[in-house]
Amino acid sequence: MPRVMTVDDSRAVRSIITKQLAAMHCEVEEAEDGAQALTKLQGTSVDLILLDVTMPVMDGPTMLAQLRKSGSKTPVIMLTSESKSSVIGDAMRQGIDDYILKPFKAEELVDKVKKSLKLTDAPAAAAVSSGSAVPGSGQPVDVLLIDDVENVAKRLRTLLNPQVSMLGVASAQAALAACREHPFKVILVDYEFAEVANAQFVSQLKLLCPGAAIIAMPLKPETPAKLLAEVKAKGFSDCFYKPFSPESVEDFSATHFDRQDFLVRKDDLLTVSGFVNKPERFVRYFGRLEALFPPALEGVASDCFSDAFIDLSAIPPLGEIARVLAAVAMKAKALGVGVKLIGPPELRKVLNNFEETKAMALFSDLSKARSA
Amino acid sequence: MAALSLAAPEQSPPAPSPVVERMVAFVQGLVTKRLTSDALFLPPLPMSATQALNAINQPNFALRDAVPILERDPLLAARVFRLANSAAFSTGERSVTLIASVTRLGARQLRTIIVESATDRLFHSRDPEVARMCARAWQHSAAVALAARDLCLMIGRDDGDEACLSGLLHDIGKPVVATVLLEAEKQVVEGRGGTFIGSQDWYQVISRTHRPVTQAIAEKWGMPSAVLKCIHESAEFDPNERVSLGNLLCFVNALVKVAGLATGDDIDAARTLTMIGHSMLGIDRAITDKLMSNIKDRVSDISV
Repeated sequence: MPRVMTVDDSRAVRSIITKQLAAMHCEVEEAEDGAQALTKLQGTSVDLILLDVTMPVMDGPTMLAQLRKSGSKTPVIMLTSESKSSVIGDAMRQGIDDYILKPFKAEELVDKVKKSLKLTDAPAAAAVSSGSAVPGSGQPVDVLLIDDVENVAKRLRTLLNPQVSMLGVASAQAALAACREHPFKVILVDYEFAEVANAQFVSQLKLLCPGAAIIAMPLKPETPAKLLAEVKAKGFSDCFYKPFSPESVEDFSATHFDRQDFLVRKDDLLTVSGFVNKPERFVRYFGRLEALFPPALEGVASDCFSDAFIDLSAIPPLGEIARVLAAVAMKAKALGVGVKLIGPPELRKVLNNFEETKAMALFSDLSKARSA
Repeated sequence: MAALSLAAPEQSPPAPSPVVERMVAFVQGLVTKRLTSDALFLPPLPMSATQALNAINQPNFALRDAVPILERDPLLAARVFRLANSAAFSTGERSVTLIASVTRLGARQLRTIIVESATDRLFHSRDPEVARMCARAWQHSAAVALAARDLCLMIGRDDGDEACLSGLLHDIGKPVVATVLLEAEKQVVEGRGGTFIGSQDWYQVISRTHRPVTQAIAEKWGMPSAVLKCIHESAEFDPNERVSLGNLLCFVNALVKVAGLATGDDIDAARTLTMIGHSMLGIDRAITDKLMSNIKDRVSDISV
């Protein structure tokens, strides 16, 4: 349990600090002035000192100087109503970790004590996964839609996968307030709405949500390439055309919120996930697999495994997988890694169709592949 | 805007020498005397800027009223054109008339660009020493203006425009004091040649003596009362009004110096002010880290 000393001539302040630190599971030692604190520190050690500046008998800066003179490197946070830079500057030269101005908020005390004691928080709450984001919750949200016509947000909400969370706002001010509150993955901006469809606003969004893709929502023009260039000049990364259709929203979702793990590597075992989408997305599915295999094989080689076991049990046995596996075979050969496939017997037929894949070993389960 | 290679050294300067203390006292005395006797030359706001700002401040101001005024100042008009056709304000079509350009910018942005243009002109000098100081000071002021406006945005304040103007103007007295100091120096070394204090000391004297002049110029230029108050209060934090615009400017000024865009000031003092400022204004370090992460690039790339 971390031990913290609060040095303050105000009993009320010591009491508040003790209560707040006790809630953080800290053991708290109290001292009324610098002299009492130094005496107490002779018989005990603490991990952090919260030190007031103005106190009777011995003030904070004098105590700090004596503490440092004795060789102590105990972290000190100045907690004081003193804000003169000359006074705090002197304390900084003596070695203080941080500074809290009275009156202070509990969160500031907790944050700075945690930082000084190098205490870590519990893992952050998981992202909002339900369709409706909770304003003011501070949680990450997938989509922020900025449009002065309310129906646009309603329409997109009905077409989006319920797992994708979304917040709709109708003004620039509301959008900036939302960006201060939540991190967003994608920000959709009405391109016909002059208040928001300009580079200055986009740069403000980027400042508040640096990781977000900021996408313009224009009406589809006759020359999309020209519009895209104009949109990019204003700082948008792409266009998402209005009016939305189920297909365009699905494309949008697939591009930005693809939560499927297409290929998972665990040591020498590469497991290909099943296909969960519409049949017309097969091409994209195999395209992703083709892109994911080379780094996965490099990982196998880098970890010094002689063989890669590729579990294809979940995939539909279509011709495209042979094309993917042909590339896998070449990459594995280049890396000096053997490949053993696990999959249904029908896959053999597909493999036999290609010169590069017909020699690949196929097994019905992983244990057989490993014992082969 | 000056190249970044002119940025001030990031290391802390040595402790002020007795010469610096004497020069500070001398310059303070001289500036006070000249200000009170109205004998200090305070650069006026260019006529076009004065007229344009007066027009903007009228309650029934229409953007077209600014056009004939801007037409008489080609430098200012060019700046308006450039900003209106920049990516920040572009609507896809080039703005070829002044009326279209000012309409695109709006009154608030127009006011900022007028002050920016006037301030930029002031930060120039034929004297190489003053010119070097001016280049640093202008770069620093532009960074403070940008960062102050963005910090207001990030923490949800609605006085970003006032913060931006205050940032632009908070060092406006430095070129004037630099000229005064140079005069004094020339008198001292007359006949002997050379200089009698080093560059770093020179900057320190200016930093510590420019404030009354800065305030006087901002007043002469008819800046809004919120801006004058902000500049006046930005020298040191006021704990009685923790989230005031003056405290915000004091904080941003220090942040920008610590980020490497200093003007020869004491960096340790700036570090102290940033430590106090985070608590004074209740601003998380993650926000200021984000704010300062690319400030050098932004100030060299774009106009305020």
